[in-house]
Amino acid sequence: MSTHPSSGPSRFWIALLRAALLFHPPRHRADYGSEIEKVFGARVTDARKTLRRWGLIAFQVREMRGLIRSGLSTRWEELTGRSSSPRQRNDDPSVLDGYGILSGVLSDLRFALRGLRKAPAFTASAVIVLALGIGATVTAFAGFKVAVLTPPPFPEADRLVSVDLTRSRDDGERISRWAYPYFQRFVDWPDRLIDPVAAYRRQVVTLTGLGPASQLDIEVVSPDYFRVVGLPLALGRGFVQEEGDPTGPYRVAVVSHAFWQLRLGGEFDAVGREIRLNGQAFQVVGIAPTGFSGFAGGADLWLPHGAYAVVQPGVLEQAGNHVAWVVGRLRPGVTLGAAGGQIEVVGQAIAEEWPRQDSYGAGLRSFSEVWTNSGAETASVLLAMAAGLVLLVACANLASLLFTRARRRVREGAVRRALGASRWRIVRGLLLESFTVAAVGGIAGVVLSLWGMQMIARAWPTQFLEGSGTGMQVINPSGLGLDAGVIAFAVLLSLGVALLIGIVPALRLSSFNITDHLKDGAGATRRRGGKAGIDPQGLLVGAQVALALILLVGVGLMGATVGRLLGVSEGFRTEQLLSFDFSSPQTVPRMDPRDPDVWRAHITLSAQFDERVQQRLTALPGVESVTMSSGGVLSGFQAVLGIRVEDATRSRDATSIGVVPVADNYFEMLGIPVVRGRGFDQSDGLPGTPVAVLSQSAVSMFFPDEDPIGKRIDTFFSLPGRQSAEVVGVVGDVMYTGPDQERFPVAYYSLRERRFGSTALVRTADNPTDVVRSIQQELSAMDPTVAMSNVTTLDQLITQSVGDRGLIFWLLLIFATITVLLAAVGTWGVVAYSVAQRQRELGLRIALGAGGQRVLRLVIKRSTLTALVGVVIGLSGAWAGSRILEAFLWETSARDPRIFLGGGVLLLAVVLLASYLPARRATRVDPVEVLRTVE
Amino acid sequence: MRDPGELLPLTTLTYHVLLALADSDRHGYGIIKDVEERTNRSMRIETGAVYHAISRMRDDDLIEPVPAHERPSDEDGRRRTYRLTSWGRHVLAAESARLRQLVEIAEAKQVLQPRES
Repeated sequence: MSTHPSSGPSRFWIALLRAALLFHPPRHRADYGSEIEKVFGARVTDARKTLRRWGLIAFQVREMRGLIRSGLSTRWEELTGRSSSPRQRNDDPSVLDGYGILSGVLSDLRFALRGLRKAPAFTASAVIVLALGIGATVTAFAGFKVAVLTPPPFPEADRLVSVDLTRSRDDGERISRWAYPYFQRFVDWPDRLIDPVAAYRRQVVTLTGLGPASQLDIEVVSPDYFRVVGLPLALGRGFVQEEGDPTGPYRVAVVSHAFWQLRLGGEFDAVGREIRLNGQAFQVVGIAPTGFSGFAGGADLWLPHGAYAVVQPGVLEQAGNHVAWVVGRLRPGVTLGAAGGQIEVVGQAIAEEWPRQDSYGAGLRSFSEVWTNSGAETASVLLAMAAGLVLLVACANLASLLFTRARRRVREGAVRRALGASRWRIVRGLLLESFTVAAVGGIAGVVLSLWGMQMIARAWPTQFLEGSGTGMQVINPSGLGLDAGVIAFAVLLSLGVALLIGIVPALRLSSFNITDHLKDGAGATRRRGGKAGIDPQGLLVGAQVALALILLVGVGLMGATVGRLLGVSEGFRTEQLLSFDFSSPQTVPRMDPRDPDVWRAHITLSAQFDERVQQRLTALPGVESVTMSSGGVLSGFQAVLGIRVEDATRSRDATSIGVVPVADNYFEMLGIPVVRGRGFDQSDGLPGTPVAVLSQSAVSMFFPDEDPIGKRIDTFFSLPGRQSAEVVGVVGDVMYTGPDQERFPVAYYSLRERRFGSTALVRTADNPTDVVRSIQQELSAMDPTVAMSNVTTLDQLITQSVGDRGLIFWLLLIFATITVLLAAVGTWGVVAYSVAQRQRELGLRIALGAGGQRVLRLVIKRSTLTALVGVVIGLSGAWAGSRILEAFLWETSARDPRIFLGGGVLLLAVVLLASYLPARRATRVDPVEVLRTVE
Repeated sequence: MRDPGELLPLTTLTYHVLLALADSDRHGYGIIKDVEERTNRSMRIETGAVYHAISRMRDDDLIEPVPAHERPSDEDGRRRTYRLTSWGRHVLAAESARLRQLVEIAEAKQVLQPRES
């Protein structure tokens, strides 16, 4: 809104006015449009002199409403050819609208609104029921849209390909990351059909100098990366060819649009500024495309390979160090097949140059193949179906409600028809009623879905982000929201619902025989379905029961799965445990595998700092004990390395092992039992003799029937001269990956022997998150260049590990609760209505000597039968449908009879209770009273 | 001549627009200002309704735009001004007479005190 006191309307209102003018017939608009705009402008200028902000807004709103109304009236008059006459039709002189009423529909609408206003209980329950059904469905659709229907957000995405390195063994082929030497071989290939190509890998660096030190997620990329992305940079430039030279050092960086806005103030001179990463100065040369956060997702910054020498020397040169994913674009006109043929040749060349046990190959997949997450796809289809069931139950419930209402109004319909209203007119009136209810319910449902989308976006499991066989994030949960597609879906859905719930009662009501009902008097609905075929309300209740049961069984299956997963022992004490990573101080040299002296210094100095951190944190109030490792429990391994078992006489199946360097008190502090031999002590690690401790599963894998103590193992990527380590102990298995994974074999080393970063585990007296602040202060007091990251509690990690199934379980639980409640309320309503209608009959029966029990049975019999039929149908439906859940079940059969039976019994009990309560009233009918009052 | 009776009674807005044009030709904004001033702003007038009325009154030949060449040269040429047709003046008189008759009945029944003018 303009702030100038004497100016006209703001651009916003002018735009609204032009939109409102669209309601006018084109001829009328051409004739008066510009004049109306001028008059409106002049009047707003006037109004500003007398009206305050809200008054002014109210005035403008009124004007818009008037414009729309007059436009519609003009159109209506043109349409009907009604001779427009200035005769007075409006008796309210305070509003000077001189136009005619949109007769017919408008008056019917008014009639419908009046009817709904007169029955607030009905209207409110109808709107709530619909809001729940539509809200659930719209939320599920939005989820489906994000998970399945969103294409890669890059230009000419059909030319984008994922270039895969494959490793084949006896048990099949799997897609692997590339090592840089192999990638370089591919880049240098003559007449490449894929150009540009780019390698990227995730990495964490420490940012200092912009506020407190913090860990940044970045991608280290080859020079053509942004050409592959294909989106224009917001500012500055991408990387150039020289900057891809891994010997570097090139100190240049491209930052994300968000980083630019939040950390660099969004100024244009940010390009050229210097930032410090891992203690080294880098120059910002470009700002990435808006909204782009890397193929892997979550990146704040990109460094070229040429910067690698600065942040993490030595990694690039190693063959067998599989670190990067590769993507590229097909040259124009080149088919996937042709390029795929070339890539296979590249794969063979790599296999020849670097022969291995699991021989290399290479292949291509189009982005359309990669850009999907099968888990998310199945889950979103599943949840959309579940939400559809909720909506169906809501519709059945409402149809039943409307039907009851229609029955009550049979006389009204008969009278109106006798007075000459056409059948269509009556149907139209009732349909308008259901449309109105659906419209209000739809709007409420959309509001509800906004909340639902927020919840889902927050709970979006990490398992549902990446594409299949890539490091690419293909799903962006922050895209969840109301857009044109979702709104259009909601509108169509509401219209469909209105038809579905309105048409049957409307047709039914309009077809009642006129004279019968006029003759019949007050007991007009005596003719019941019991004798003349199926009772539609019974049908609707049965349907609700059946649909609710399907969901209930789904919840049972998912609940059993989640319960079993959470029941898996972690192998250590998880209570009150905080876990976080922290970076090394800048005084500690970076590990450099090419220079053993630097490498040793890195290990020794890091370990010394770790020990100091351990002492300082243990002294903090609220902290009970602290231990260290490289890579935390339950968050995956930092390193899975090739292993050789010395003096092995047999061939070993497994070739790799998770390597976890730990502090001396690690096993004791976490409560991991030392089964044989010993844990680590002060004498282990540099410069003592290399020793290792194995997990039980490692022992059963590598030393199935011999004593491992004293044996030697050799893992890759150890300090030169210290590859071979003596096994000194065996400890219990611990959960490093998810609970549904097989226990992976683990080799433990001392943190003074080797390391891949620092993770601290802190056991606290109370809530672990209470001490985060004081830990942070303590760390930056010790060294301001040290940054904390991945702060989490073990409880959170456990919840996350069942994240995908947990989300499905919770949503199903919510949906099932809604449907069971609806089915119960629906049953209640139908029974209560039938009791009220049959008062006379029941009174008579009681007067003739029928006991209370007998009457109760009579009333309940029908709903019990209906419910039983519904349960049988529901169980068959669940039997047929539970297969869809199979992908998410763990150690639970999709046909577990206990769960099916339990669901059926539970639902039957709910329905019986819901019909018993209103039925009890039937037994209290006073026969004298009834026979006297009714006729 | 046609019988004005077939158009009566007029809507309040139509009547006010005719009244506004009775003493002077006006453009749309002028009509609104005139009605507002005469009624001490007790009427809420929507621009859309006014133009709806104008369009209909033109169809009924009650008012007409003043042709450009007849307009005073000092006036803003881009605005369209309207004036009463003789038919419009006739209908206005008929409606006023009808209203006066109503008021006289009200006075005779002592619902309203006659104003001493």
